[in-house]
Amino acid sequence: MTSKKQIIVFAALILFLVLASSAVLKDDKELKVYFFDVGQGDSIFIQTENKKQVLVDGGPDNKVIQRLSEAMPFWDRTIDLVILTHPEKDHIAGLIEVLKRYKVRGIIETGIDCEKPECRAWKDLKDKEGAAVISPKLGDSAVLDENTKILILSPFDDLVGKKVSKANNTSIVAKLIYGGHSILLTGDIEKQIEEKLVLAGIDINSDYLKIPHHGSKTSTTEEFLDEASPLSAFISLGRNNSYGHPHEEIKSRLEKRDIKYYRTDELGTILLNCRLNEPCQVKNEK
Amino acid sequence: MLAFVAGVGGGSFFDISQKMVLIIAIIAVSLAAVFYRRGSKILSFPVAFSAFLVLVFTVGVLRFDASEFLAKVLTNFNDTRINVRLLGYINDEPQKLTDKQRLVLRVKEIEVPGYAVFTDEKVLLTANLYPEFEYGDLISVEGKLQGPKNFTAIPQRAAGFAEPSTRNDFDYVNYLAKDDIFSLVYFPKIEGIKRNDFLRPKEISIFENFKISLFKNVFKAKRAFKESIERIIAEPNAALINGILLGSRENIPQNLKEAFNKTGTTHILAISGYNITILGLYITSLLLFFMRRQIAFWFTVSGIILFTILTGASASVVRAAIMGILILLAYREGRFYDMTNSIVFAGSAMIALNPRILRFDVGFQLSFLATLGLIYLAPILRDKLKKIPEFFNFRENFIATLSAQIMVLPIILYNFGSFSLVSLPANVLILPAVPITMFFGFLSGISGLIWPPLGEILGLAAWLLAEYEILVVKIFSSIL
Repeated sequence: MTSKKQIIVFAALILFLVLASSAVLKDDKELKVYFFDVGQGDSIFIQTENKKQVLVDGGPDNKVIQRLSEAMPFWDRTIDLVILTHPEKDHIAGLIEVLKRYKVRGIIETGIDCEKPECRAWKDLKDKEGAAVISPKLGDSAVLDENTKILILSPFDDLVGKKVSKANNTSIVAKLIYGGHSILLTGDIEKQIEEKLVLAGIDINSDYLKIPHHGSKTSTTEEFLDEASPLSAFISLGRNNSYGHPHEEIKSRLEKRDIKYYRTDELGTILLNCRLNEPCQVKNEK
Repeated sequence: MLAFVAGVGGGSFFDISQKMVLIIAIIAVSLAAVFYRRGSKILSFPVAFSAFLVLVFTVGVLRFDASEFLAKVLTNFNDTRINVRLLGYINDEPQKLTDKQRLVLRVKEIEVPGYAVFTDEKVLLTANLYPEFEYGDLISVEGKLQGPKNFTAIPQRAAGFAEPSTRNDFDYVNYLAKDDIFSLVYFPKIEGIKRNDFLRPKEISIFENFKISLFKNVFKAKRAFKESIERIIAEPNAALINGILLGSRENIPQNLKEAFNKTGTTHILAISGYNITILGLYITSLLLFFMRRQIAFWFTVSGIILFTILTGASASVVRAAIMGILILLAYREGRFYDMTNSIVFAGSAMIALNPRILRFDVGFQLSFLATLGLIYLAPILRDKLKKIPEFFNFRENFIATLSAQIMVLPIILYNFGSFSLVSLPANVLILPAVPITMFFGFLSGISGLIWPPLGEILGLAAWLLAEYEILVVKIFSSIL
C-alpha cells in the first residue's frame, strides 16, 4: 500500500512542478525593483528582464530572508550580485543570513574598516563564500544584461581599509538604468555627499529616487532633489521608528515639488515594475 | 505511582506547609509499619495500601517543594538596577529569532562591585543577532537582572507546546520556571572568556565539562544540518521542515504559526510522544519492505534514540522518545491494554525528575492524554467507525486523530481558550504527508552536506510537501 501511495505522491509532485514552472516561465520581460519592508533599514531587490538578481543591502535583521523567498522562485538559490552600500547594522545585518542561505556570485562593497560584530560575521562568511568582491568608485559600472546596468556615482575614491568616523557618507550611490528608465539608489548619504555630487556635476538625474537615510533631516537637500528631479520617490523605514523618520521637512520638500513618495512603513514591500518603452508601475503589498 | 503524581499535583497547586506534610508522613509511616507488623488480623490489605498511598503522596509533595529550593541567588538582584557581571557557560542551544537571539546562561559566578558569589543557576539572555554564540561557550555578561513578567499582550515566545496566540494572559513566569529560569537580562554586554577568567574554574565540574564537550558536537551537527536545509529550501518551507524534523519553531513566520494554532496542527511542529509514535509506525512500515518486523522495530527504536540525541536530548524530547518507544513496543506486541502500567510508570518517573512538568508543561500533558486516547479510545472508535472507507491509511489516521483530539480537548480548552472545529479535517489531511516530508527533508539535508546538487533535487520534493501542508493550514485557518 505504501508503494501505491508513493506513486500517487510522485505523480502529484511532477504535475505540480510542471504547473508551477509553466506559470513562472510565461513571465514577461520586465525589470522588477522591490523595496522590501524590513523595518527600520534598507533592502532593495532587483530582478532584470533576463532574471539577473541583485540585492542592495539586507536590512537590520533576518526579515529579508522571508521577503526574498516571496520575491524569488522557490528553486532559485542563487543571487548574482549583492551590494552593501555601507557597513551599518540596518544595512548589513540581514546580508549575513543571505550569505549563509544563498549562493552569492559577486559582492560590491566599499571595504571600509569596521569592527562591529556584524562586520566580523560578514567577513568570515564572505571568505568562505568565495564570491568575487569588488570595491567600486565613481565611474565604475556593472552590466547586468543588454538593457540593464548599474553606474557607480559615489564614493569618489577607493576606500578599502579606510577608517572612518561616520560610515553614512561612504555609502555607495548607484544609478540603475534599464533602457530609458533610471533609479537612483543612495544608501545613507547625508548633505555633504549630496552637495558634492551636485557640485561635481555628476549626472544624478533619475526617474525614481530612493530617499537617502530613511528620510532623515540630515539628507535630501533641496539642491539634491532639484538635480535628481525624480517622478516619484521611495522611503525605506520602520513603523513608529524611534528616529522620527521620515522628517516633516523632507516630506514638505517632496510635496512642494509634486514628487509622489511611497513609504515601506505604510505600504509594506513596494514593487516598481518597468518595461522598455512603457511607464513604470508601482505596486504594493498592502 | 498515581498517588505520587497526585502528591506533586497537590504540591504544585496548594501551598502545603512542610510541617503538615511531615506530620502526615509520620502518621502514614507509622500506620503502615503498625499494620504491617500485626499481620493480617486488623489490617485489611486496602487499609495498608491506602496508608502507603498517603506516604507516597507526601513524598510527592516534598519532591515538588524540594525542586523549588534550588540555588536562587540571582533573583535577589532582579529589578534592583544593580549592574552585575555574570560568568558561566551557554547551557542550551542559542535560539535565533528574526531580530534577536536568546541564550540560556548557566551562571557560575556573580560579580557585584565589592564581592563575588558562587552559584549554579540559570538566566535567560536576550541579545543582538551578532556576535553568534554556541552551546558551551564560556561568556561573561554585564547588565541588569529582571524578573520575568506575565504577558498581558500576545506573547513573543513559544509556549511549551503551542503558542496561546488567542489568549492574552500568558503565564511566562511559570513557563520559564519549569526550566528553572527566574531571571532575565536584556541586551547585556557579552564577552567571550576563558576558563582562567573564572575565580574558581573548578566550579564547573568534570561531569559538566564532559556534558558540554559531548553536546557541543551534537549541536554542531544539528546546526550544520539545519543550515543545509536552509540553503536548499526556500522559506517558510525550510523553517517548517526544520520544525517537523528538529522541533525548532523559532523561524516560522508568526502568521503561519497562528494558522497552525488555529487549525490545531501545531503538534506536528512540536516533538511529542504523539508524533514520535505516529512517525515510528510509518517508519516501521516503510522498513518492512526491506526486513523482518523484529529487525525493523529495532531499527526504528535506534532511529528514535539517534534523533533524540540529535535534537539535543532536551527533557521534553527525551520524554517524547520514551513515550514513543513504549507505544511502539505495545504496538509490536499487540497488547495496547497492558501498557497502562508502563505509561503511568514512565509518567511518574518523568515527574520525579522534574515535578514542574505536571502542571506547567502543556506538551507533557497533551502527550500523555493523546497517548491514552490512542490506547483506550482508538479501539472503541475502530469498532464504531468500520463504515469509513479504508483509503491510504485514511481511516487509521482519522481514528488516531479523533481519539487523540477527544482526549486532549479539555487541556486545549483550558490552556488556549479555543478549540477549532477544523482541526480534525486539517489533521487528517496533513498527517499522512508529515512522515514523507520528514523522509525527504532528512535526505535532502544530509545530501546537501555531502553533494549539494542532489540535496537540491530532493529538496524540491520536501519543499512541495511542505507547501502542501502550508496550503492546507492556510485554507483551513482562513475558513475560521
